[in-house]
Amino acid sequence: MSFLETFRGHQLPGFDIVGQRRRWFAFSGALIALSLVGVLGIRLEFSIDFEGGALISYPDSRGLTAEDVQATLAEFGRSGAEVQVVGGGEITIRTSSLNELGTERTDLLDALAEQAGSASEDMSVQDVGPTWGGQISRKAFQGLIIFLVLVSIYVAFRFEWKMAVAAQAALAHDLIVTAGIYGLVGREVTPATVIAILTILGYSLYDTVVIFDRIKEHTVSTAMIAKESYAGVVSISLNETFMRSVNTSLATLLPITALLLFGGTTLKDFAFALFVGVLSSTYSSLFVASPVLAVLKEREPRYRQVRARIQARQAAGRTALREVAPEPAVVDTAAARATTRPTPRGRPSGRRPPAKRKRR
Amino acid sequence: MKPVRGLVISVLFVAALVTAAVVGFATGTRPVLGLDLEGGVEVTLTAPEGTPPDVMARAIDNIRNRVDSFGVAEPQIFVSGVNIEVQLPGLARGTIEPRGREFCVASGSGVDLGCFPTRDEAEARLQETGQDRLLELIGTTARLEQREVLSVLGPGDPGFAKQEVTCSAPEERLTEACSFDALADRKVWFLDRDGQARYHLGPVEITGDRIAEAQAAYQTVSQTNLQAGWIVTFRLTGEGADEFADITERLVGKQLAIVLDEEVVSAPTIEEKIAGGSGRITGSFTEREAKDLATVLNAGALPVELTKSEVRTVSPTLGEESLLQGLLAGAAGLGALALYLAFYYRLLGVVTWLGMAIWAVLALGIVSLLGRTAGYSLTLAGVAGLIVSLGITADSYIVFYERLKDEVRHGKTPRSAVAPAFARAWHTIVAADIVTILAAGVLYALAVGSVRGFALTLGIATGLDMFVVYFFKRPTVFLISRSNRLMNLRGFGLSSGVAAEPVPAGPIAGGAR
Repeated sequence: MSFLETFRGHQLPGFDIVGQRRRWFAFSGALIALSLVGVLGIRLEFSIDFEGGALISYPDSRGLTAEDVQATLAEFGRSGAEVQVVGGGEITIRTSSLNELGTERTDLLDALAEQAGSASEDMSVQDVGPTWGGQISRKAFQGLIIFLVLVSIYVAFRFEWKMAVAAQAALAHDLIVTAGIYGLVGREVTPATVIAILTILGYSLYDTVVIFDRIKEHTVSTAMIAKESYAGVVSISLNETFMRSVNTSLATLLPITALLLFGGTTLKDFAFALFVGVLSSTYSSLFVASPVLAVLKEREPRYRQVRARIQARQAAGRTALREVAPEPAVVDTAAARATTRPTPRGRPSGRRPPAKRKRR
Repeated sequence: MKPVRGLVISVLFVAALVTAAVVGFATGTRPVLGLDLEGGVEVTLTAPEGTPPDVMARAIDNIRNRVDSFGVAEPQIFVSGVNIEVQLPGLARGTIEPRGREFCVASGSGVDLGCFPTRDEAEARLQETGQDRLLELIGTTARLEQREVLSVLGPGDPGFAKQEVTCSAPEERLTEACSFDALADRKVWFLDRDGQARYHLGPVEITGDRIAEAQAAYQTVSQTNLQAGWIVTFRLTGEGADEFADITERLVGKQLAIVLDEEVVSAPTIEEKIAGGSGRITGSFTEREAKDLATVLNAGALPVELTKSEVRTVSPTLGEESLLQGLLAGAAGLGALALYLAFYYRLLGVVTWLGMAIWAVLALGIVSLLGRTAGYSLTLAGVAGLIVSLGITADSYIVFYERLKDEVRHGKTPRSAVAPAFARAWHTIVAADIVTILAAGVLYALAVGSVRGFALTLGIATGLDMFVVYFFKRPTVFLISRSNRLMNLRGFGLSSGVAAEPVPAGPIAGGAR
């Protein structure tokens, strides 16, 4: 039942993500390695938007075969074209750019339409110059850099620079994983994929910022750090925002799943990249960004001192008599602290009577 | 009760906006659909890297003027960096009129495009002429030069058929040898605009960038002018005036061809030396021709070659299909989300329904309004942006409700928890939404084509989310929290948190709520 209780928000999950960070870092590292195989090892398939060329699609009411269409294309000197006849009477042709054909362009399209018995207005043509894709990629890359700089400044200003670093670590993770899995699945890279990746940038940071906001709230006064150490506070914040993370990713994934199920081809590629990205972002904000932040902060002398003091106190607490009873019986792991903490009076959990419903 | 009044006013304010949006929608202010949802033609033109913005702006004026002068309905032209995007959604918006047994086609500007025995053929003609026209007018680069006319061959002249036109083969045109610079110092053979007469032309005398201003004017009959008609007057830059004086002095009595993108627009005869840096171009122009020429002379003075980066034609049927898919996905996503939120947050989930419905109505309202006023058209990417921001909107509610549960878990009464919970949640929502708005802003500023449509809806939707949270959700939850009956209702999402901390051991756990 504890899973259900956690799900319903009756109790905090009590995960010791920060304490077990080595394990999670290893897992994330493996994920990234796998993704790099997907990006570098397998040749990504790029759409004509990147490669240049023409994509013609139109309905076919005469049950043509690819060979029939090839024959027509050959008349116009386009024998190298890639022709696909999709089940529902839909023909897709991928060939080099038609722009330089001039008036013959119309003749070619008319001939194809006539052959398939459809009106020429039913034809959809996308014709892309060879340098266009380079430009799209360059713009996307520029956008990426500017966005990262702006967001780093924003996070450093609103929170602190170490949080900016931790958030970017998670971001890099999400980018690599999304691109990697996209490549592994063998989907075609389209401009929609690029949009999706850029969206994931925003989402990944968004998700991380929500958790960091909680950490910042807890660390405004030093009281909590003094009791729990910085890593402990991170762990508590994580557990407190855990159900938010789960719910938010569910809430975001539901519409994306709808796109994945009902959207057209373009939307499906887009939705797939987003789906992977959102999952990865949710994971990374909990399991990458937060532990990285804890590691970074624990290196600061003052937090090291705090930790030393806490450990000394724990050691004292174990040997000494129960005089220090009000102090919570802290165990070494952050998990225990996490589950203990939320009672404001510092009592160990499980002892307090259920809160009264106040009527006023 | 002052705070209550503020809250009520806030809710009423939102209600008024929603009513306005609904009324606007009912009276026809709908989103303008992009060409991938409606069908149409889109061309992206790219100038050389590093073309300054003012040159781009002039290029756009040029293109807009051309599109307008060709009479195709409602072009949308956007610029982003060195790219110019020309969209003609629903391009074939000409008319087909049954005339006797035939169907006659007229373009959006009323030009007769011929009559056909069947409606299908007429429609095909309508579509195809629209496309062809667009591609043709987009194909012109707007490079203007003036050359001396050495000789002219008409269709009847001997040797006409044999005379080759310089750089006329499509594969040849793209080569370095056929670039404007390479041809500038050569003698060339160019066609006139009808593709009939062939002009043998000398090297370039002067290019369009020497023209400061050109205007179409109507000349009435006078003593010096025997024929009334449209002419074009022009004024050159200082440097150009000196050059032009020399040229015209040399060419008095001869023809000086005005060549636009390797086509002879006109070849007026130089009547006298033109010293003042201004002159006029006569000819038997119609009003439109004169104005077009003036436009070309003004706007054509840009030293930039445009290449077609992307040409996209979407058939209306495909557009409709995409629109349906987008709507279906949106509806399914919204439905699933609504169910989940109600399941998880109970009554608060219902508040969320209201909030998200308001958000959706206002978002559609803004998109419609932008379509009306700023020429924004909703594309598939834009729809995707809206669907993605559904998640962000839902998150604002989730952050607030989880916060509320936290406060209650820490021992506050639901009623006293609302204010601090909102304050903290608002802080988080703003911090997180700003990140998304930053992302949308950067995407919008840098991206090309469909990415911009996506960025715009994402940005708008996120901004709107903050608005709805502040002006609707806050007052609503505050007001609900004042009602004991509602707060203690069994189905109210909050109470599950009230009894929850800590989880009582054993049998109590089951009855926690």
